[in-house]
Amino acid sequence: MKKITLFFVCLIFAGVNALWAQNVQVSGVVTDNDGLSLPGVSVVVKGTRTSITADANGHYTISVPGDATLVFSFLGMKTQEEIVGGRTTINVIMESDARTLDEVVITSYGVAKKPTNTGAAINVSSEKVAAMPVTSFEKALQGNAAGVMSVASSGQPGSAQSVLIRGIGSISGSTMPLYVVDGVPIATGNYGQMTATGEITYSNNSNIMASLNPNDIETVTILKDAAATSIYGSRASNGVVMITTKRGKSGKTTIDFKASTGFSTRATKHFKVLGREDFLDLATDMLVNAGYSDATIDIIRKDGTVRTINSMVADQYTMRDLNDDFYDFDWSKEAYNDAAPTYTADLSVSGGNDKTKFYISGSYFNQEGIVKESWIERGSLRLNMDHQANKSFSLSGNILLSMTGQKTALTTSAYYTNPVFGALMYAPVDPGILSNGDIVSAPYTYPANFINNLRYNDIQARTYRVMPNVIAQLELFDGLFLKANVGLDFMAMFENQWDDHKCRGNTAFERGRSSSSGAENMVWNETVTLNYIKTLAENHNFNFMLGQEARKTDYRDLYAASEVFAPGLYEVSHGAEPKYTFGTHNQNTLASFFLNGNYDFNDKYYASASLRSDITSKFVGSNKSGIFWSVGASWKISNEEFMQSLSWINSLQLRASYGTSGNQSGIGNYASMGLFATGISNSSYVGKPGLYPYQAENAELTWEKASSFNIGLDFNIFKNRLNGTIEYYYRYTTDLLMSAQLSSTTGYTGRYENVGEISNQGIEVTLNAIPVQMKDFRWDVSLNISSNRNRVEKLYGGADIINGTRIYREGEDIQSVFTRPWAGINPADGRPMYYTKDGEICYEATDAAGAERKIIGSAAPDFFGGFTNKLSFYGVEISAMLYFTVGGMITDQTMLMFTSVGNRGLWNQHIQVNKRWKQEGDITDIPKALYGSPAASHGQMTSRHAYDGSYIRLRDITVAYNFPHSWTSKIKIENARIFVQGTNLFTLTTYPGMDPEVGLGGDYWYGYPMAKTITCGIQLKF
Amino acid sequence: MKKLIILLFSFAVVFTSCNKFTDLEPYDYIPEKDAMANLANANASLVGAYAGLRSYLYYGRNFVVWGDAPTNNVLVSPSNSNRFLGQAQWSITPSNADLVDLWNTCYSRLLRVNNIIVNVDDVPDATDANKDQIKGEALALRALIHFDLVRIFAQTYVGNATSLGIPYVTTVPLPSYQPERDTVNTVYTNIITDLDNAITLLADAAINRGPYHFTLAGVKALKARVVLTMGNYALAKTLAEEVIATPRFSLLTNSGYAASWSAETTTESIFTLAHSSNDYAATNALGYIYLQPGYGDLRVPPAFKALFDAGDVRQCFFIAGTGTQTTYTFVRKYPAREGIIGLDNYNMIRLSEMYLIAAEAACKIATPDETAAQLYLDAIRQRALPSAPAATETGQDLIDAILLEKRKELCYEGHYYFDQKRLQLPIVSAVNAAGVPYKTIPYPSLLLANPIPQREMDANPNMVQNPY
Repeated sequence: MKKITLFFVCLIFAGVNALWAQNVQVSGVVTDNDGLSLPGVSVVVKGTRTSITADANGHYTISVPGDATLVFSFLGMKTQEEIVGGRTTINVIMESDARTLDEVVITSYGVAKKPTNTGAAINVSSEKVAAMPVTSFEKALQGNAAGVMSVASSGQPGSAQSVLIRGIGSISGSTMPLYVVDGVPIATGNYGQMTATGEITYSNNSNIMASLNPNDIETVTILKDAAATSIYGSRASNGVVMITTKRGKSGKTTIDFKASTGFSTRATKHFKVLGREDFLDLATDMLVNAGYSDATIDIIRKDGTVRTINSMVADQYTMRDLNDDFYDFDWSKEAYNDAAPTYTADLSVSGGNDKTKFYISGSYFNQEGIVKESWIERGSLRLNMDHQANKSFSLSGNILLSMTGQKTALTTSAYYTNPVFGALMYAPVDPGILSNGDIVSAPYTYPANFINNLRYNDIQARTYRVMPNVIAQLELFDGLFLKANVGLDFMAMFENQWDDHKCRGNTAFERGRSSSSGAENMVWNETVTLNYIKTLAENHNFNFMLGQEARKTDYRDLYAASEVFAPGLYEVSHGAEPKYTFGTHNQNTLASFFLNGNYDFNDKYYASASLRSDITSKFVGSNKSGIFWSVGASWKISNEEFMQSLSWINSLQLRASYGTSGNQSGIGNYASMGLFATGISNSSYVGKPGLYPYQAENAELTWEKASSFNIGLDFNIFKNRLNGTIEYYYRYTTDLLMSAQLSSTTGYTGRYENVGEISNQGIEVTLNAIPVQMKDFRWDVSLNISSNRNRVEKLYGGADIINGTRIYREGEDIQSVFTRPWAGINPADGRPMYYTKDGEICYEATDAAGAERKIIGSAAPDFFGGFTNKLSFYGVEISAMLYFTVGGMITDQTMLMFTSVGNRGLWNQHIQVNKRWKQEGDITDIPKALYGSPAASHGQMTSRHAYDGSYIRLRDITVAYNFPHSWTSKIKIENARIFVQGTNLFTLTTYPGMDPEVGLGGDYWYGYPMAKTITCGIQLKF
Repeated sequence: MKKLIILLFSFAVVFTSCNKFTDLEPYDYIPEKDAMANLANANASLVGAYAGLRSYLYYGRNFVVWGDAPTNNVLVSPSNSNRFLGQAQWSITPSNADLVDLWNTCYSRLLRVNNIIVNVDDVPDATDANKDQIKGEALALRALIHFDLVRIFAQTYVGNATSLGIPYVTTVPLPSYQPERDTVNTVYTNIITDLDNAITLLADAAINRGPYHFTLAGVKALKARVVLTMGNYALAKTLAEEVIATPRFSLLTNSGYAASWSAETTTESIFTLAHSSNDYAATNALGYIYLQPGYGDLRVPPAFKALFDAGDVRQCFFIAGTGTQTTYTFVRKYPAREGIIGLDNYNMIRLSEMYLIAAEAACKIATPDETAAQLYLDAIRQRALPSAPAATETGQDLIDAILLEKRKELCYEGHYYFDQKRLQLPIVSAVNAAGVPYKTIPYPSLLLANPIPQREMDANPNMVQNPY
């Protein structure tokens, strides 16, 4: 059997070189069988070195002699030739080439163009990934892929994005998909070490995904169902995100340059707290209602006017402004940047010849956060090389080097020193900075001032990442390939923290502390596969694969701190008194074997099957291994004879699959074992080391297993003007991993157990249409909507598992909000009221008072999606993407604290409290102000602070202009583009809290709010 | 074909070695079975048990503050950090974090202790003397922790012995363990049994590991406190006097008194919980809650300060506020060692308490010995204020004087609330900035038994909630 590769195709070009005297401008669009445009197709003038690459929309324009032949080639597609013959428009539909499956280059055991013919997968193009001014590519998935819910958990530059494919399939196990870069599964998640010390940390703000440069990404393919994912077996139950980086193409050397700059500010500013006069009124009300004296005194201002004020309030806030009046201090001004700059520059060079190709890129990205003193910067360098040594042996090598630096503003774990929180909490009459410029070190509201923290403290993190991999492929004999992919993902992370003695609340007072941590995470992964590709009787195509994979993760870190410093010295080694030191070291391994088979008949009927066995170090005994399998089939109806008469149908395909996959991530590396630990603060005493029980044993712990069914219909109709996919899935997960709650009398509050079963089912619809396509005007619309229903099917203990305001209960959604119904404010006395089981009124949100606790909704949205419109005319492109999410409840802990009118002492409050109950008969939903109001009645999370989290957000709007080729070619520029882009420019929501994008859990504390950003930039291609 | 054979062979090699590849031992932990595998590990387990008391959720802060926060020994700062408001306002709900934390911490510490008690007899390289020492100390710790739990989560012993107490755990429980609550009587019976066994075991112990460990005197002192709570005054007096007679303890003198609070140990230290600058709880430490440069959440009510005469050496417990807080008095019982706010050792049991127990018990035994009671009272009162006249009170006046002296002497050490509860006297709550108490709790009151944490109710179907 003849092997066809892209490289061999290139050899054909060394043929006759015929020239016509006259050149013509030829342009067109390259699409695949399904009418989807194919970006990156190489267009070569046969017999010459003249070549061009189709742009992100599959468009190409090339100037050629009138009798030339164009050769279109693309990975995984049959190379096609078109004789120009005087034509100026040549649209090409490329046929997929089943026999080029598993090309030399990119994937480890994936497939090139479309990773599966039977399974559910979706591509997000480089255009979408690189277009957004985001720190990491997964943020760009929001609204761009059906079935993929991608939400930010924080607006901190470099923070993690929660990506959920087809609903929540695990409780305590990871719900994150598996990320695979060029065939190598990579480390994901957050790596901040200071968490372990209880010190202030980056917490979920140090997302290592930020170390990948989005501009290096060619495509992101999301594998969603069992047929597509089961080859990844153990880690695939939450889906797989396959990332393919850009590669060089033979022909002319191409240089791409892109630079942009812009500004960010808060996306929403509707969460407002009281100003001076309202606050003074509230404080007086609170104190007098609590039984404090209602005596007043007069404050004579410098301008001679008099303010009469409650004497207790006057005693409480003794600092006066230049007019001898109370201050009216704007704390939010001290917390936020109103125009935080961001800039980025990318340069890549790619090219090569028939034997060797390369792609080199360098980039720098810098973004300041909207909260002061927070930023991220990233520099990265990538080199991808491909070499065809001879007819049967090829080699590819990729390497990424990147450095990410981050500074945080303490917005997740810190409380009083957190600027986001502090900007709300401190009263305006309690100034942070006096009129003479002095910073108040101990305001009344709380004796620590975040302004000091912002100015004098410093927390920075630095992550270095090296990701090399080598892929070698050898054709042993005709159709039998041996392939190996060996990759490393190495990270070194350093965090430095300086706690200045001027700040209080987070360090040993008056001494200063420096702490430093270093960590390394090494993942190595090797895969060896044997592929056999065979065609029998012309139309029966077979593709078998046998493979083996091994993976090891090794993590270790070290932390040290010291205190007491000479002025001007801040490093941990400078402290006069060494303090804590400790470190951790842990590992996990996974060994796998797999078999995979694909069959297709005449490009009409496809079938696939796979089987995989995984052995993990996380479990013990026979529970270590898991076996996963899948089967899938698809029918390309449009290729049947009887369909040929229906010319309006360009393509129609029906797919179905069923299979299983597993999950063992997200739990501790030694989760099955009974362990004792040691530690300075926890178990050493009088200088002696001690031991303490750390973890309860569970030898029965085993894989979480998901079985899923998928059926999908792909269509492309009306001369490729409308295409789409409709998909239904049902996924049933058993042996859910969870840190199950134990009676504390066991000495443990929980341990990992396999606790139950859940199901997810949903429908995904993707539609892409070209309503208008004229010579110089084109309108593209795309819409995707996903809806997922989750149900807890079984809890092995039977009983509900209650976790704060969330509950796992059989028959209910896993994100059910479980709390007490609020009955409003008693108009007679302003007390908050709650309902009992019998619908009676009670006055405390407690069991004792009889207040009912019940499910009042779910934090999961009913549906979500993206709606994109794009207009192109005369080189101008305008595109806008709306992201919407409908349903999903948010329990807002911040609103609770800031509308509790007295439960939180003299904290400033949300402007809503101006509507508070003041006198008998007032109908309102804010209780009477009462200083020291008890938690039982005022301070509990109840349905009062559970809100509908629906919103529509203008996620992205871009206006771009592509300069005409006729202009740019004069200055030897292939392509020039300028653009202005806005992200999160507006948000429509009824949610009164800070920002409706609160992460997956739907529980908002006081995280870093989202930013809106405007950037402008230029893109050049030489 | 040869290549293929080599390939398949290498697959086979990988396959057979992968079991070893996936068998990993942790670096940072030791297996449960090794925790008591030898004497060194057994001693480390005991060290871990003592260190467990130091958690700020227990004796490191919360439990100690709990002994004063519900009473008018404290004034709640208007700019408080929301810490201890539940205790101060008597508004503790089953979800109260301090409540949940105390329950969880105490039971996790009991696992540390029970793991020692259950396994110590099988430690291969330990002598009988080693075993007695380790087991005796661990039994005393087990009694102590249960005693603390039952005082928080149940009604007091006298008159309520048949009411529900807390589960008394004496095993290394399986994860499925979901015990019912034992009665208050059962809990106290078990405490006494454990203490008596500890006394027997430690009586033979050659080494005195005090004052940072439980010693024979320490166990007796704890037992004196326990039996006083049970109303067994005769035994309380005997035990307290035995401790007082222990040669290595003596009352602090007037001149050394003020400085003693920043010392690591004193002549009064019967059992002291050690804190070092490496293991103290920093901003979560006990001193931090009281001092102005710390949180300064709980301050001294003027009415309480007024109980101390001018010249009383115990005025050193107080310090005037500075800056914007000059109208307030702050607590300086934990003045900080080495200049580190929050770094203080805590006296779990000190000798002054034994004098005051002996004094109270002497008044309440079948044949009261008021002379002895007066002498014990004078030892404390005249030590604080040498000019104070010798006690002449008798009857109820004498008892009241002793209780007042105990309140003053042991203020902010975590006793007053438990004494008032034990004595079934009305408890006046903490006061607000205007000096007004939030509540007065009479006896009996459902509020005197705190709710069982909601978390435990959710996790253990056999748990019965206190009416509250």
